[in-house]
Amino acid sequence: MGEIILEIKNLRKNYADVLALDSLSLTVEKGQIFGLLGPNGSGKTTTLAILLGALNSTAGSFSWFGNGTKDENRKNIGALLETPNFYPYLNAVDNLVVVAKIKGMTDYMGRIEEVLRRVNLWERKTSRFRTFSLGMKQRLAIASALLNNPDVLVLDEPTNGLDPLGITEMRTLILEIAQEGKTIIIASHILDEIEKICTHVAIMRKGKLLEVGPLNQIMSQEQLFLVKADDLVALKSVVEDQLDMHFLKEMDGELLISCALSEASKVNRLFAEKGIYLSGLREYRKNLETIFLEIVEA
Amino acid sequence: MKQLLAIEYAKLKKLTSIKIIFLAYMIIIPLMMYGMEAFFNLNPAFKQLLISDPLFEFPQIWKYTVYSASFFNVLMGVTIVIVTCNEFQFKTFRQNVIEGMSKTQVISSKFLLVLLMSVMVTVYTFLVGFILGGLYSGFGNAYEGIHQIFFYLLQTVGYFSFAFLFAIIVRKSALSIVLFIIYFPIETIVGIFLPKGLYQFFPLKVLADLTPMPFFEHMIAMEEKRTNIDYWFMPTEWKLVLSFGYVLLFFGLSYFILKKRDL
Repeated sequence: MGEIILEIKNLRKNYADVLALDSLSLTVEKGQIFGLLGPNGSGKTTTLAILLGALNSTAGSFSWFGNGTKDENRKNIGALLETPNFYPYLNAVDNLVVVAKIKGMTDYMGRIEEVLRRVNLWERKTSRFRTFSLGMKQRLAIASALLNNPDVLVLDEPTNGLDPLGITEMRTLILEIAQEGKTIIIASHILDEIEKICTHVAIMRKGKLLEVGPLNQIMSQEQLFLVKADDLVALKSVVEDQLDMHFLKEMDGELLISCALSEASKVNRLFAEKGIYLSGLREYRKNLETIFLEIVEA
Repeated sequence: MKQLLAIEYAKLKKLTSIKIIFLAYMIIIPLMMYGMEAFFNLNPAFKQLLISDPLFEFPQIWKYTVYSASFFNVLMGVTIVIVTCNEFQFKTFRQNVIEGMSKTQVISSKFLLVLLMSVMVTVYTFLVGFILGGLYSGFGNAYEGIHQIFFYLLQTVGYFSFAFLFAIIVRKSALSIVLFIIYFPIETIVGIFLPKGLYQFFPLKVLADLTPMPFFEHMIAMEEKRTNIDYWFMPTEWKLVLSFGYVLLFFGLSYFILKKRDL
């Protein structure tokens, strides 16, 4: 177990009579790239907004760095929540000066240049924020999140509004940052994005956590199979006993499993050796999108 | 506290509209003073009073300056509305919190800004009175009656905190400004229908009465003599205490609302 960066316990949020977040619990450890997945309205942004102090939760608790909900914690978190929010009449540098002062930084001009160069905005440093394109605004928000060299980055739909080149650049940037040992929490409904960069994922729908775990376990770098047997309970217990096999979910009387064995015949033999004869066995397309849709639509 | 003001300064130093409004304030105050004097001179009822109390001489200049200026510190409240509603419109209140400020800090930094801008407006108003008074009557007894400047400061803080409360509740710039401005006549109209005296306890009436017309007392005395009716006017001490109370109430309500609300 790594050092715990974030711990969420039974977090709940009601908007009038709508339950936006229903008893969410999860843990993020140091160095993880933690993807928060879910369709629009699944509670991703609500969760992040609560974690970042912008929303009050209805019930439950969370703790950053084992240090509770202190406002100080957020100075060590770089965040991009929904849209980039800056003062439109200030230029890029002046906007970052405001952020630096809030973060309590001294002697920040060098660091401002560094982060603006990193997101390719240094040439536009004296342009007002209101003249920026959506992609530039997004990049300024990333620069702002990196400004204080925080241990944790929280990114909500970071590739929103970026063109294909921008998306690739953003992905590279996130991976670079992750290599510096930072913990990244990223919310997205673009599965491709998550699949390419995350180490861990949590899948949400309608405010509920459906699945959480390491990406390779959830989506499986391994082969996926749909298996069926007369005695599903016995089948399931066999699957759960295997170290290199994971039960993912039950679908229409079949079990979706991930498996280190890549050939169906070997899987078949393995079950036979355990005394289970399969009545159905087929390979399953393996990408996060399918998994996600299956889990979310279940 | 210093850090909070530094943050506010970083936000506002390049906001042109504020600079223009401040500049307009600086120009209009002396203009207003000369303009009103000309008006009083043309008006026989006032002209008589002007001879006994020359407007541009100490100590009368203090009353005259703060009275003339008090038409415009109300309008300066518009700057408070603009900077506060901007934070909602740009979602930067929310962003400031995300970046690590506490809600209490976000609110208190605006309180500090309200106080600082009140002080700036008051200092300029003081300088106008001080310089004009000195030009017309020398600086010999310049500090006589200077407490009027403190009344003016309290009044300005009052108007500004009231404007701040409007901005916090309404959140939309244009709407807040309109509502803030039409509240003044509404209060006056409501006051007409209330028992005499009660109206004097209304928030903006209390604040406005901190800087009455320079020869207001003379005029009332003359009126009482003419009609044989004793009018009741709130003592200055009451006005001060009530004004303080209203400032605390406006700040308190703003704090409570922002603290409670999701950003």
